[in-house]
Amino acid sequence: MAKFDVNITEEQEAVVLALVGYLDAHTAPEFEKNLQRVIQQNHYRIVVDLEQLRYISSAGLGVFMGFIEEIRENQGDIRFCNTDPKVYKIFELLGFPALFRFFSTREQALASFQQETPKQGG
Amino acid sequence: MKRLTQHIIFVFLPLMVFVVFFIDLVFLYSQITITALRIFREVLLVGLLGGSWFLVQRYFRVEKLSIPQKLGRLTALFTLNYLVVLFLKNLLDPAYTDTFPPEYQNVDAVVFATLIGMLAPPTLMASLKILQELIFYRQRSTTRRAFQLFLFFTALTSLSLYLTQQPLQLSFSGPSALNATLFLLTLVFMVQLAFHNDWIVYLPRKIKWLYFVVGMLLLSEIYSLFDVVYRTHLTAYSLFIASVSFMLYLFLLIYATIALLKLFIYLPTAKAFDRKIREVNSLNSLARTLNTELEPEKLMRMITRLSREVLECDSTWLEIGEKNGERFRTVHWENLTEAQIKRTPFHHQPVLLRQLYHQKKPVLIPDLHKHREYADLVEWDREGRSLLAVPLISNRDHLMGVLYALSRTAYAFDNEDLSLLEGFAHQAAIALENAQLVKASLSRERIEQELKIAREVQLKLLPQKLPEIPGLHIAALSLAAYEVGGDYYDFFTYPDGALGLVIGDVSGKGTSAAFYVAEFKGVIQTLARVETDPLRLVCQANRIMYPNIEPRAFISAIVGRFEADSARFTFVRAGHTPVLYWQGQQETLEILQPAGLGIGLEAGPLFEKLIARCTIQMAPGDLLLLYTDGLTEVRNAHDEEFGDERLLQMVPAIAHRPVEEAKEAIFDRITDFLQRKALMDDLTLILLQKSRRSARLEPRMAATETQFANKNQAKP
Repeated sequence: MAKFDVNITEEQEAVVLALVGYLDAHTAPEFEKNLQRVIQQNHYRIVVDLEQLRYISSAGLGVFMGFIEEIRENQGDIRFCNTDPKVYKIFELLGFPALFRFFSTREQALASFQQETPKQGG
Repeated sequence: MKRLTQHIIFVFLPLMVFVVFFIDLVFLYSQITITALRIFREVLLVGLLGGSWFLVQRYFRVEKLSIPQKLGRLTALFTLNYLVVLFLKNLLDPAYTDTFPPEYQNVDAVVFATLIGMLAPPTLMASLKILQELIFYRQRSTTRRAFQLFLFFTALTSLSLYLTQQPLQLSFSGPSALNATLFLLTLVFMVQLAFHNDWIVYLPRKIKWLYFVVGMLLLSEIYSLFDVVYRTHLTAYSLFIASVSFMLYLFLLIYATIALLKLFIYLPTAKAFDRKIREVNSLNSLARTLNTELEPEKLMRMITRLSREVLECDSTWLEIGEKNGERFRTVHWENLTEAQIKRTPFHHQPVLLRQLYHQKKPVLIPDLHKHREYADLVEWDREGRSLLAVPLISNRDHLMGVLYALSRTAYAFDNEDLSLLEGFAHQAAIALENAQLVKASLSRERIEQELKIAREVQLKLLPQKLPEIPGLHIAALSLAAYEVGGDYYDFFTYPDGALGLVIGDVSGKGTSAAFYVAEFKGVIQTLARVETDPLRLVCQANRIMYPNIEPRAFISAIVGRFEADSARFTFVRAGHTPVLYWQGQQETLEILQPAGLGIGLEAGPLFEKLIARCTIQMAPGDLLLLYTDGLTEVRNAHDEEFGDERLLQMVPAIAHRPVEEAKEAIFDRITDFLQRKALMDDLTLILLQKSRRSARLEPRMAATETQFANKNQAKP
């Protein structure tokens, strides 16, 4: 039932992970593997596109928490965009907007990384 | 088309024989010679030879017979021939001239020669076919070519003999020179082919003795048939047939002689060889070794290693099907690099794909370099020459995997090796399937056991009875999913006597969630002894929990405080689902969602900055609903979510009823919605209702708690 998929595209500013379907306790390990691989390739700037994500459970939210520390230690971040209102509600209940930045479009999320580039360069 | 050829041959062969017989009779009685008729007769006889070859190829099937069976056929063929000829010789009295080729002198000679002429070609063709099978027992690249050249020169010599009308003699003068040269060339190939008798080596010792004795008899039979019976009669019948027969006889004689010599030589070492054979037979005991190993991983390694030892080849590797045979992964390999394993071309190779992966048949490629279609395999390993691949087929006829063997020598594997590896693969498949079944049932048992523990832990952590508070009715519902989630609720008393309440949901499922629930309960119970403020309590709980749980784990919770005297309810929401507040007098429903972060998400500063208190003054008839997301995220068989809306719409209808009834109504609504589908997540609900009448008059309790194992719902 709960079908899930991740589409990964490398943009200039960041790696975009577009999540599709249901991210729950059963599909979370698959997503974790994907995210792990991205980080292993030293990509710490990550945009997670939630446009096609229908549902996320606590185990799914946990995946982001599992990596965020390492990512931020490497001057990176996970930023969300295109959140479906229903899915955003789940993030909001848990207080995620206090921990992560949310953008309405993918371009805005990517641009937010680009603005930081000069600081990183030095 | 084939049938037509068959009919023609069945009609024409006897017809030809009769025509030739008639011509011979005419020649005998008329004493005249018509050259054209003679040539026509010879053409017919060549046709007879061709027809015999066709019949033998079509009806004399020996390919699938074992070596002893083939030899048995050969012996039977010659014994029969010998007996028939002896019988005829006693019955008839043929007479011939002394010329070359000899000519008939009486009718007996014509009849005798015709019968021999009919008998000899099929017998010889059949024995040639058996010989061919024996020669190709361990086929080398040049064998087939040598055999074809032998046939070609046999035909050429016979043609030359017929054209020159000279007896065969080793003289290099006059017309015999050509005959002698061609004959010598044929002889070279005969001798070369005669050494292809490897099958002798693999015969058991006792059989070797038997064959030696029978072989001697057969040899004398062949010799006497040729010398005593055939020589004159066949020559008189047809020089061409006689010549072909002579060559084939000679070949048989040479082959039989060399084979007997080899048998003789191998007799003393037969004992040692028997031992070797026994080693091969120990394959069975090898398979028994496999069957004692129950760890699939170790078993796969063992299969790969043993197959290499058994075949004495360069490399072996084992592929195992995954996801119902959608994909094959090389699990173990011997003498190959990891880089090679990563880019095996075997799944793109059409022949292998069809024969091995679709038809589940073994594949033997004696020399990869010989066929252009295997270019990609050669590209993969330039040194590999012979490839052997056998499928591992499960009891239910599924392709479990493929066992490969590669050798750097061309023609390193033969059919014996193939059946050896096939037998091995068969045993390996059984052992592997058993091991996998055992592992699956063990792991299923372990998971069951773990879930059972998780369920027990969770049950023990939930309050055994609900508190009795004047003026407040409490009802609680908690349903555990099959794969236990991390739902938790509890009641406690603050140091100042106020009622404490906590409802929470630990992220994840199973045992780890159950143990975090236990930890969380301990932390809350401890803090509740010293803290009177739910906000401070939850902030401290976060500071304690954060470093003690995995980064990916967190807890959403609501911690509340109810003061019976003032009927004031204060709570904080640490990332949890909101509280629904029904005000009985105004008949309004409010969603209370103060700011707050989940416990364990952040070390403390941000958590403490964000979290906010919410306080309400409960009036008689007011109802509070606290729940976990398992309630609103219940999914039915149509993948439909129960959702917030359905819950919100229910509240006004049930709010005025006693809490226990209200709880039952919600439970019934959920079960209706589920329609026997199992719960995917835990579900918890707490109802707090302020009494309509004065608290002192009616200290009523609703101290029931419902525990449902989800399994019960799955089955009627």
